[in-house]
Amino acid sequence: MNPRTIRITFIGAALALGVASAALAGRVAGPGPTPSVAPAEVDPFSVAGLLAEAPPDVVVIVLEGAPRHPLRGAMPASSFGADDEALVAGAPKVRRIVLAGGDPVRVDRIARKLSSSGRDVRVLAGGLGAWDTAMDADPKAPADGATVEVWAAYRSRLALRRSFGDAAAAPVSPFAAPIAPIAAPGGGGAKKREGC
Amino acid sequence: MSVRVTEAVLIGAGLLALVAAISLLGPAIRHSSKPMPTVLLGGATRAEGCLSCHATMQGLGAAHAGIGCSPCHLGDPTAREERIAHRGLERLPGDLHTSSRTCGQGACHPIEHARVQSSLMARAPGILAVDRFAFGERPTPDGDEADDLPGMDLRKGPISPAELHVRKLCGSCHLAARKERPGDLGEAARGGGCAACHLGAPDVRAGRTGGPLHPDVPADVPERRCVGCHARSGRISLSYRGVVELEPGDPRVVGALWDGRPVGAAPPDVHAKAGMTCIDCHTERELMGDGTPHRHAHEGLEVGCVDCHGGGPSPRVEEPTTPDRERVAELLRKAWDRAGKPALPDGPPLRTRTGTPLWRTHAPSASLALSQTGGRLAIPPAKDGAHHSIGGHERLDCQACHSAWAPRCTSCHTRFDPNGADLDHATGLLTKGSWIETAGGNGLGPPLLAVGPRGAIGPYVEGMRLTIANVVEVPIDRVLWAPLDPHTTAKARPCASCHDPAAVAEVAPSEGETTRSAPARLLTEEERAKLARVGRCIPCHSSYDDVIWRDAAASFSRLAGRSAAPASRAAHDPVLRCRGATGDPAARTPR
Repeated sequence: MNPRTIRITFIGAALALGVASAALAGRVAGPGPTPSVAPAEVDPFSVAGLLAEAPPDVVVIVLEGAPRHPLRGAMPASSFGADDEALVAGAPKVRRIVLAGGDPVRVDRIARKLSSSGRDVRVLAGGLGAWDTAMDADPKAPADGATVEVWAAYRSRLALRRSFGDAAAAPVSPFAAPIAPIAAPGGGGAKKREGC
Repeated sequence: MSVRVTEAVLIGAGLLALVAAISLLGPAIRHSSKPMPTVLLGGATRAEGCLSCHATMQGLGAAHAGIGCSPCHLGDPTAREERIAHRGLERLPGDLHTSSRTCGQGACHPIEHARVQSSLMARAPGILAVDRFAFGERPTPDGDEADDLPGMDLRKGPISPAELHVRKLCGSCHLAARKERPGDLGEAARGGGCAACHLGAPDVRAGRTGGPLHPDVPADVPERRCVGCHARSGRISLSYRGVVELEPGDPRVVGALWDGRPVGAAPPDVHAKAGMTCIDCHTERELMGDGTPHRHAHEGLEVGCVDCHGGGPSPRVEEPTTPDRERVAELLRKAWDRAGKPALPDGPPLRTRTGTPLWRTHAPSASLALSQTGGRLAIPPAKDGAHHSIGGHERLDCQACHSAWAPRCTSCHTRFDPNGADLDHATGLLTKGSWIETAGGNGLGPPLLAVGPRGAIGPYVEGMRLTIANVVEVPIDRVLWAPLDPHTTAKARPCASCHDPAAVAEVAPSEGETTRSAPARLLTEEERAKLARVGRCIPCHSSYDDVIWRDAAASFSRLAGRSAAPASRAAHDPVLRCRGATGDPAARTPR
């Protein structure tokens, strides 16, 4: 066999092997776990504090349900689209996001998706139930000997509790956005009606 | 370009491709050479490749945390490639269409699965049976095998008006319905098989790791799972918590339900106030079925007030009855321990009349461990006294007196718009025809009284006081009354609320039909007259201890026969003549 034929054979073999290997690599390689970071949590008073800022430097998104004490300024998930994918695609990219909802699994899943797309996302610790519990009654006053910082934190929480938890005392907020009923994910088509 | 240069370029390209391929193949080779993860299921080790990617998932409680993904989600656990591994994936584990391969597989819960398949909640036969009766398609509400909601033949046509009615308005409220999407859908959830009930918040008591959350699959069913479906029809989940549906514009409206229905406040059930939830009374045999395909709820109901509170025939059975009942109780006790709830005290539990252990109760101390918190609750015994032994009341269900109120809807007009369109709950398809309901007054009131399906006088409400137009040749206009335990238990209602002579017609309806067959029936004219007759005595003889109630029949007989003392006769004469206390119709006309 002349050297030229040998070289061509080697070249062909190398190319074939390369192509076959690449194809095999693409086929066999497992997907690997999706990089996933557990979302950070924020407590209800921190969320209230963020919402009380004017303008708030955060977008609070309520995934489903309506808390007894309205999260004034929060946006319903339905305003971003009919389902979770639309929410992930349409959520603000440049502002901090706080997710609040009753289903911790769904909140976690969406928060991870938002995080993996580069957003700064936190979740309301304990969900809407924790929010309502926190806003139900004034926080307990510190003991007499408490430090100035503890008293300051207490006063801050008291003010937030009364602002968000006491409808009569709540200030008129220029950013108030009523939380509309959330459209069920799955498309904006006709919904099943139920009888009596 | 010379041949030599071309060859060099080709060799270089080939080598580059080889290097790239090797670098790409590296992880793949490492991935495929890693040992396949395994899990232990039913005592056998099996490959569970899912864990190669999903091992960090957290939230499943101890019972399900170690079995991986595929026993519930199916797919191919032996595959190393996502596309193949996810073939045949069940996104809604527990769905009754696939549950024989998931929850119900031999290694897991085959017995429970078989029972659920024939359970009332999976089949909801009563809904269709009563609807067919209401539409005049059947002479009785008893139903037959064809009345299963999941068993409806969706391909056949045309379907009857009653079937169309159920499919357009009610057909999602059974376990066999396919859930719309995964996750906790709250009160809006319908269907879902096992997961309709066994779906809980992620169990992260041991501390959260960084992995994604997964719902827990707990043995104890939170009330939240029951509320959605049972907020319709008899509305027991609302009434139990002191919530009553009202009409829009009613001044008593204080809020709205998740679906927008306006509601007001009413007294909650005493058991709700004590911290009890649905499964604190209702046994798993009632909820998941006992293996017998019942047609109506009363047939499958086994727990009764007397099982805990006494006052009935030998309710506190302490001997084990059947192995199956004992086995399930033992499993549930283990699940309780695994969940980290406070230890249950040693000692026999109370039992239902059929022998099912009320496994969280403790007979010696007459107490109950609350399902959600584990806190112990003392069970007060029914008080002995004249009010429970008074003649005539032995025919009453406990709830006849102890239901404080019931949701009432005095009329309902239903018409069919053939040109409209609504989703078919059975198929999920938008089909022609739409039902238009006009409620005539959602509200509340005292429960009505009639003979229930188990033969005792108990609470009733308007079942369907309805007219149906536009769908049948002759419009239907009929009055149906439905037995209902309203779940508003409280201290007994006042005697006069049933025995008011002027309001007997409002307490015990005389016209219409019951939505259950015999022995269920409306009270007879004679029984209604008895109600009124007693009522005429109550203004003066209001105490249960009053001597005349020791033997009411004898007292009336004495009075009617004028055997009473002259002074007594004189005292009762105006009553006898004015109010007809003897039941003599001739004496009823007021002067």
